Amino acid sequence: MISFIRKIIFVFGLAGLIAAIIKLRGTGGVPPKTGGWKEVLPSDLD
Amino acid sequence: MKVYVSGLGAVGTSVVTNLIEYGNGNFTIFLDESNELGCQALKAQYGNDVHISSLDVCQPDLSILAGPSGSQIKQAEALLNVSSNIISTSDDLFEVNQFLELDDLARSKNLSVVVGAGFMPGISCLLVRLAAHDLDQINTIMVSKVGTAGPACARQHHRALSKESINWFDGEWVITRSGKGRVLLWFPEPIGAKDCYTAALPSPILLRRKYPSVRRVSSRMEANRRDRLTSRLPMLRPPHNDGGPGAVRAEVRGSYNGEIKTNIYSVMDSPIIASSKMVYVLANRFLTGNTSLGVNGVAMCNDSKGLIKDLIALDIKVSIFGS
Repeated sequence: MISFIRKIIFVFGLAGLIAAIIKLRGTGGVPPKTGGWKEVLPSDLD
Repeated sequence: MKVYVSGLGAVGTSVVTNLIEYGNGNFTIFLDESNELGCQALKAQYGNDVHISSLDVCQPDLSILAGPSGSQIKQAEALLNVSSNIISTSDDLFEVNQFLELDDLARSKNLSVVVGAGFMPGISCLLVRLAAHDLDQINTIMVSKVGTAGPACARQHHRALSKESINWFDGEWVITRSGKGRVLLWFPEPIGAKDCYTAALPSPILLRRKYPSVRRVSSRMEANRRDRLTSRLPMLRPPHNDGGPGAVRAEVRGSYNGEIKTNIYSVMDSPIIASSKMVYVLANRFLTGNTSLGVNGVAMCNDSKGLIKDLIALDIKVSIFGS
């Protein structure tokens, strides 16, 4: 029983460590702040 | 020009309004007498500008079929036999295929039939032409729509989710269950981002006739969880008389001078108003004789830019997505 609990603690600890590394190293990027829909004018079609 | 209008629902009524208000008297309008309520309402509104008639009596130059999708093909052969050109708003996959089978008959009689002349197919086909014009190689075309016009269109939307969809994928037609292939797509505001799914839509068939060498052609429409869950059941509540604002979007991927490029165009408007204006600008093409013989979709029409300019002149806002 003690061994089983120790394994669970080890697995959760390892998962937490991996998550922390990913969280610290990953920036997630910056969403685009320009662009979007622009109206097409008849002159654009010439 | 004598124009016979059949199907006086939301789109048909709006088409009649356009023909009268923008047509400068160039169109003599005959209404299908079988729709008594619609005829009476339009007669009360427009008086002698419209005539109520049977097909045999009026002998039209052009017929506009704006009735519920799936019901138009019954009239089409009879109309060709009385030498009438046709504009059909049908967006039913099976019916559009039936229209295309009338190609030989239409050509033998020197007539033109434009099928799928609505929001999507219709305006979406013109957006594809616009998006494709500055590419020297096209790989992928994807069209999508949000919203419905009148009640008949809403019913067709519901049916399209319950039937099998057909898309062109790497050299073959791929038939799958509708309601799959979710893609989150951005439309102009106020529509915004919508989840779109495959459905039984005729756009890939019509677009591939124009672009036979394109690797992938697909169409999608917006649907929510309830739409997808209840697609195989009867509609749970009656559809709205007006589906409100909607949008169509065309995304074309390809290359220009070896550089990969993606062009995205969209139109946001009421599907009723936009579809009826699409029909009106096509009717004007029949007036000037600028049409292709046989049965064609809007993508095959001559002078697609001219058609878009005409739509813009009628207050249809075309948008391009750019960074």
